[in-house]
Amino acid sequence: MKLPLVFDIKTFAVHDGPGIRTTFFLKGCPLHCKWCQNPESISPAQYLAYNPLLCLRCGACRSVCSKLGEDFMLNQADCTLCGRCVEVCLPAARKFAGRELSPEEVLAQAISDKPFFDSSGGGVTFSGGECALYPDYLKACLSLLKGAGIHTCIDTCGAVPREHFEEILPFVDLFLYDLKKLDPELHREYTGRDNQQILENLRFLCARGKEIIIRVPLIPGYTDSEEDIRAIARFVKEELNGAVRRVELLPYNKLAESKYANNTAYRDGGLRYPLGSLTAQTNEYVASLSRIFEPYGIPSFSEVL
Amino acid sequence: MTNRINELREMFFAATHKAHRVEDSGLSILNETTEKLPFEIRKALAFQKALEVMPIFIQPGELIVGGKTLYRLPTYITEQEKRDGNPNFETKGYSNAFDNTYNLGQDERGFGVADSCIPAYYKVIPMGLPALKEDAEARLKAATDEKSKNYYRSVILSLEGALAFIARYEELVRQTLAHTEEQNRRAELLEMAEGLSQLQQGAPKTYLQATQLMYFIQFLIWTEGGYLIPLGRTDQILYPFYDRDISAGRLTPERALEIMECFFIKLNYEIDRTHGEAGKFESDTGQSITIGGVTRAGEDATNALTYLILDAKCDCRLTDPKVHLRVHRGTPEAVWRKAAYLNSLGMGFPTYENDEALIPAFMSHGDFYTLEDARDYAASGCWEMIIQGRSFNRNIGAIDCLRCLEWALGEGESFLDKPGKDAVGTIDGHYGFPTGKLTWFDSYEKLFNAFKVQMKHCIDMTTSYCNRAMLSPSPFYSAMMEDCLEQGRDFDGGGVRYPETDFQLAALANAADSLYAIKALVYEEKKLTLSQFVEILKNNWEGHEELRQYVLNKLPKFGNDDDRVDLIARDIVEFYVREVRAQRNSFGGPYRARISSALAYVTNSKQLGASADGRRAREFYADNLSPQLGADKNGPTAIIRSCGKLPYGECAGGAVLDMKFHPSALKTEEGRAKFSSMIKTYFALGGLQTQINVLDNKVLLDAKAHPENYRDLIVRVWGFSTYFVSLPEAYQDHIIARSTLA
Repeated sequence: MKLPLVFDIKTFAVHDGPGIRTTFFLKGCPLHCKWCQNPESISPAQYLAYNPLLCLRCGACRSVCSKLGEDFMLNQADCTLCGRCVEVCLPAARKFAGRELSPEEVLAQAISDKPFFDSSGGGVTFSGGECALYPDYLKACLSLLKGAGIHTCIDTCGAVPREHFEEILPFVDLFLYDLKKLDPELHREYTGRDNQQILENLRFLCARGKEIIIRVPLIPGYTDSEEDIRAIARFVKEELNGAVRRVELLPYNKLAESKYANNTAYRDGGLRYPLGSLTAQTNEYVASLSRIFEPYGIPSFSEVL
Repeated sequence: MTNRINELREMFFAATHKAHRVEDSGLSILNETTEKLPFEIRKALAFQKALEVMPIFIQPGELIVGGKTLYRLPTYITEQEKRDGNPNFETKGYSNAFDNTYNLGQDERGFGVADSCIPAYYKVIPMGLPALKEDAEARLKAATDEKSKNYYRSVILSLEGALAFIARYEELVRQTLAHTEEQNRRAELLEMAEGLSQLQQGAPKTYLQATQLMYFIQFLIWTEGGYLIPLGRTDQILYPFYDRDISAGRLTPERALEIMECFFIKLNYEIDRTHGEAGKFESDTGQSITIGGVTRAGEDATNALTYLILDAKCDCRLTDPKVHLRVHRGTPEAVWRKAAYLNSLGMGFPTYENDEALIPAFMSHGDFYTLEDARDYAASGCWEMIIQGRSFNRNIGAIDCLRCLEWALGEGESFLDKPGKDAVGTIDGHYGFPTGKLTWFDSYEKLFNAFKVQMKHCIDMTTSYCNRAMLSPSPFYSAMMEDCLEQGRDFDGGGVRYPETDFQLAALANAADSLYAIKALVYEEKKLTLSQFVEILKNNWEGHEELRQYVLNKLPKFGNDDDRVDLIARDIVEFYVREVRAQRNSFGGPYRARISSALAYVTNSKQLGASADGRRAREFYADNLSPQLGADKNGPTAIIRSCGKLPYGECAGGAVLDMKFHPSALKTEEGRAKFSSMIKTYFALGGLQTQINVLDNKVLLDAKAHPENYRDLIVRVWGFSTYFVSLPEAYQDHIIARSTLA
């Protein structure tokens, strides 16, 4: 089995499902949302990361790699990912964006955090990128975790073949399922794909009686109009029979903007934030969106309320 | 918050109470006759005299009156006594070399003044001061030895002074009443005057009277000369009064909350004046109250006041009193929820204490404590856990692990500052013990042994100083304790049941990290010799930045659940606890081991050279149980797992883990439930205590730049909450650095 790259592990994760969780972020995503919060996770490929704030300008990296310029950066095509510059970098300013983690290593990390899961009703969450791109890997991890009595959660955008979900279904306790926009054309414009597969998979999971939390990223001007939210409420009510644990509204977080064009060692790498600077919603506005779900009898939740 | 509380709070910030302060009355009680009286009698006379002249005041809207306004007792120590001073001159006050302190306050002879003991409010409030005085009078009659007789006389004089002082306040309230037209206020003033009258006749009859008496005792102890004065299990102490009034329909919960808030605001009047002159920090008052936990019988002790006190802290948003919440398996979820909400407000309240770990830690001291008393523990000044009413707790300074390691690496010499010519307690001009040349340490174990010898040396030196320290009597304060009257002895005579002395342990994480770095580089990888490494440290890493970066980034650090370092920390703690507990103090009581740094992480660290963990000379080291700043790379669960490996079982004094959270984590009820679970997990792993900061570093940076906008921004420092804008810059920066990592 080829292991996907894990680009981050977060312990005491409190926003990724019930209780205290340990979240594994896998690299690679079928969507390219304009507002992506983890731009470094879109490509499944390894790359060389560089944090100039940690860099001592000691030049150790340049002594092992002739491609590096005075800015300690290089062109992506020149990087063979040999890792020598990472090895000599003492302050760890240079590192690989992701690393391979075997299912056994995932389990070991989770077991060490199990006391926290047990006291809080938490567990392990796989996120990304899009973790459901790797059903074999997920199945291996999830079955080990379930064997250890650990609650499991999948944070997914849903844009993967249904077979991927069928593969992991018995080992998942809860799906955190992103619904971004119901209009298929605008969905394509914003994320690179329409939402047909996403909605079908959601209907499928619901029909199979899986526990689901719908998550809606509120992107100002893109997904956060009252009509957007009402359409989602109607969909959940009419097509899913309201059979979700709740709908979570995720207010816009400006933090994402700063992640762009950072953290890469490539002069020609890194993405530009395509949306420009947006203003986060007021709590009052989020509250008004949250109230839209009331007449539909659908529980809604937001961190800011 | 009611209008009244809002206005009283504004008045506090406007500091109207300070207008009544007098530094020195200029009076003396000494004359040819009184000069010959025993010391404690003279002190009681001075206390009495002080209370005759101390300015009294009442402010609009107050329901609780009083406040310390006189800052020196009339002269009662003779010139001869001052000249004689402290016969154990080397035990006077503070010794930088071993970081020893023996209580913060001293009288003019250099004798220590008792503090940090929790008055037996549970006993004296239901009893009332007149009954206490009668008890002392009866005991005086029955007493046979002169020492006891003088003690009882000193207590009676002090209590007479206190009762006369309450009479002055009654008079003032009645005068104010005479000039007040507003009917509601008149009714309040009348109730207050009758309450003050009752406190002179007997025991308090109402919740208001009981609360008023508690405040009187609190600031009268300060007036007598104490410094850090904790309050004990306030929800338990006041509940019978509350319950009676509520049942009788005399009191509503809303009114009870308002009275509690009036009391709490009053407790803040002294925050700028309670610390000794040196190392002055606002709000380091030791005014801790402890709520929740189990009763003396082992049942859950939660009552209506447990919740009410948490509510009052949410409302008042002032530093005092500090709130400690004792928890156990039976603590109601509603208490956890309310407490987490209070935490979310960011002031560092409450601090959490784990009954299931602390009570057994008390019981680990053989038969010293009874189980009922162990269950009656409460917070002393910061997070020192002692028995309310029954402990005479003395804090001595920290055993500084990094300093011990520095001495082991320096043949007993410090890297930086040398002892002056007149330094006391040196060996061949060094403070450290000459444990031998570096070349002798041909194995890690030998170096670790030398390190242990240095620790033992520090413990021995500190103990010997402390056991010879001279103490001053405190007749009024001691009368508020459980056993002094029965014993006929003041604090200095050993009148308190549990005389215990607490050591602290500082820089634990840094010492473990440093020892591991030496072990790895010198003994395992053999990258350099020990002598070379020490030369580099003595030169503050100059020219060896690469090595420093290697140590900082490539070697494991405490706080990441890595046994290579965590087990070194465990070994250090094991040795420390064993050696500390082997000592006995001058009353035959135990020395207890705490793991906490107090303020040493800022003050001591300035005297220390570079350390092998990558720390530069004079830089801060880690506070309390925390990992070194920036060394925790695996998140908070790993910190907790690392700390969970330490042997807390015998640390009755406590061991404090500082936890930091970003406000967003506690914004929702769900988030707060997760936060509470975090604490529960730590306690399930055996953790004793944790103090919490919930801070946004952006807010702190703004507060540093614009202090005028943040007068009530409260943060938790090493062991208490204080106003961020009142802190020296070094502490502000440390808090900012910490919160950035939250």
